Amino acid sequence: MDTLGNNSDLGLSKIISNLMIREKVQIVNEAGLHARPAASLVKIASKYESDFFIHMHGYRVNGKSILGVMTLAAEKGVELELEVDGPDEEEAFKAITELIEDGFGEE
Amino acid sequence: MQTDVENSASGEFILNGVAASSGIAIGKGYIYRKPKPVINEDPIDPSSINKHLELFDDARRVIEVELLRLKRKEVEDVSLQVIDAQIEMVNDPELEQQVKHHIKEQNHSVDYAIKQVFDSYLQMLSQSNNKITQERMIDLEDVRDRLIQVANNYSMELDIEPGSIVIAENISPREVIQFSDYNISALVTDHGGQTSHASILARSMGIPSVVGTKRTCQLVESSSQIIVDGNEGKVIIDPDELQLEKYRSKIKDQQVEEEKLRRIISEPSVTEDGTSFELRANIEFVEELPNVQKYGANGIGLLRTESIYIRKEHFEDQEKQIDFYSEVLDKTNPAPVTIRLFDAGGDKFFSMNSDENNPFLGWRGIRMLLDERDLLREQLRAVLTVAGRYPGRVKILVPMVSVIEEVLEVKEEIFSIQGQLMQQGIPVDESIQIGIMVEVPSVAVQAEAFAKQVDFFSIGTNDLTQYTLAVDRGNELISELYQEVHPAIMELIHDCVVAAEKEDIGIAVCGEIASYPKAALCLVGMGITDLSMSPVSIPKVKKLLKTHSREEMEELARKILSSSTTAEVSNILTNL
Repeated sequence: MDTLGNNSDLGLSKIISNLMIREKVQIVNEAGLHARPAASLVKIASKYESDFFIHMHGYRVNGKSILGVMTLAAEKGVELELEVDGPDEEEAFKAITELIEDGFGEE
Repeated sequence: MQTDVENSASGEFILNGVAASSGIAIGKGYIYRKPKPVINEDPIDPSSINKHLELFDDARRVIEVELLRLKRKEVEDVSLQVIDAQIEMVNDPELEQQVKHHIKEQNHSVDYAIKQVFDSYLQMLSQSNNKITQERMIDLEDVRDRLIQVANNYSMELDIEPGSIVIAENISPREVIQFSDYNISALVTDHGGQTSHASILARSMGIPSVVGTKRTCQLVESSSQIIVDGNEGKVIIDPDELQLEKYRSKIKDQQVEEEKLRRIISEPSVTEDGTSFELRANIEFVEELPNVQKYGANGIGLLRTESIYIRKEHFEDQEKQIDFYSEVLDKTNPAPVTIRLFDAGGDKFFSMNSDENNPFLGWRGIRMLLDERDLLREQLRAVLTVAGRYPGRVKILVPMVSVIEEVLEVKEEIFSIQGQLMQQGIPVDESIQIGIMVEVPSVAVQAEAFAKQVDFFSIGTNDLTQYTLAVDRGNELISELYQEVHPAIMELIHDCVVAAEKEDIGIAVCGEIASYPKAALCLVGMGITDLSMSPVSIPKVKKLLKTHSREEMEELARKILSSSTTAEVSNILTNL
């Protein structure tokens, strides 16, 4: 019974992890994730149907909420963990990481 | 040299500003300060929860539109991005969910709910040591305060006595409408220009107005006596007896003049030699309807529909659209009403996906409507339903057409929706007229091809001028180049007339040019006898048209068409 229970648990978490993307990405632009980069991030994320959350220092905020993203006050060098989940998660994840790694087009 | 403020020995101040709406008024000042957000922390009655939820949605929509308009005026990239960030805040899904939760589950008033939610975000931000945090907090506070302001304003009563002169730093179109309910006698604002939306509204409502006075709010005290001279752009505070006498007699002259104009209003619209012409009104709000009648407009030549979205009504709500159009038709019976389809600018009214470098050359008018089919169909269904109830009176005007394919597509939509309505047993006006705005030069150049496809042209000279002369009229560096009576524009208009005559379709002008009496002479001389303008301009245009013969006007048009510089044109018009 115990083994069976563990097994099914394992199976469930496997399914969950298969169903969403969780990856780390670093903030590279000098000014960090302030209002304007946050706006671009939210705008890109909102184009996709997938849910998007950002984990940082134990917080989890809705990546489609500019107010939430701004409260992270993520500075340069900080590592964010992105959680993207939904039908178009691959494309969404790609677009979001490209934007962050590109430093939001800022210097 | 004229300075902004003149100070006379008797203690009166004269402030110089921009004459935004003509007329003179003497009255007591009422200083309007944007209400500081007042927060009502008492729990609300469960029965008003829905009202508060609606107030929140309305406030968000109003502010989004305000920001989008602001964005259109900004040129600097950085400020555009700041505005973008604020738009994202207004539309933030978490904000929406949390505020609504506060209202629904904790019976907080809309203002208190907004404050609570924003303050928790501000609290989190204040814990950061980051320098840029300061900047973010100001942005947030700004959005918070405006949301609260707008949400509160709807239910706010002002203590304005009839006949007051309202003085404000800056006012929104919505506030002009609000003030007009109090029968104010004039409006003075420290900011704003002649083309700001508030000024356009003041003109169309016949409220004398001076704008851009810079320091009136500082210098004036509530209930001081004030003279507003909307003809000269002057504001006189605490005038002396001599000055008052002078202006009282000016008001008398004005009344005599108005009386004359009123007589003109009731006279038939014919030139000296008997050619008849039609003067119609450009309007956007039902509040302007009394003026349509007062100034003797023959129906509506341009009904703008953008405000349905900006004001409280949901644009998507078809019944409310139908009510709006029906009210306009009821109050203009039996004259025709030309409804222009929703003409959103090149910004993202409905989609969050578009970012445009050059909105004036971008996704606006029919281009947007053809992409947002549901919106187009919704509006057409409303317009066509109303047209069926008032047969022969409604015309449809398609904005921002640049290629013929757009016309064909819209016509197809119109016919298919009419078919659907008929199947549902709803009466339609089968011979409804479909016309296009001529505002993109390509349409004037290809006028004949377009004329084969439509029932009428309506020339929008403001945009036609901008596009033809490549001049942004909001750009002060080149404002001298913006000339609606430029020979090139006249020639394009002439081409449209020729095509319209050949294909036997209607032609009208609804741009500002029609409201300049001398330019109107020239338009009639060119063969356009259907002019639409702000209702208050009608009497002065009519007066001049009535005292000239068709032959004189044709002669004038010939002269203008054969000139090659703006100077020549101005010369001809000045010496008229």
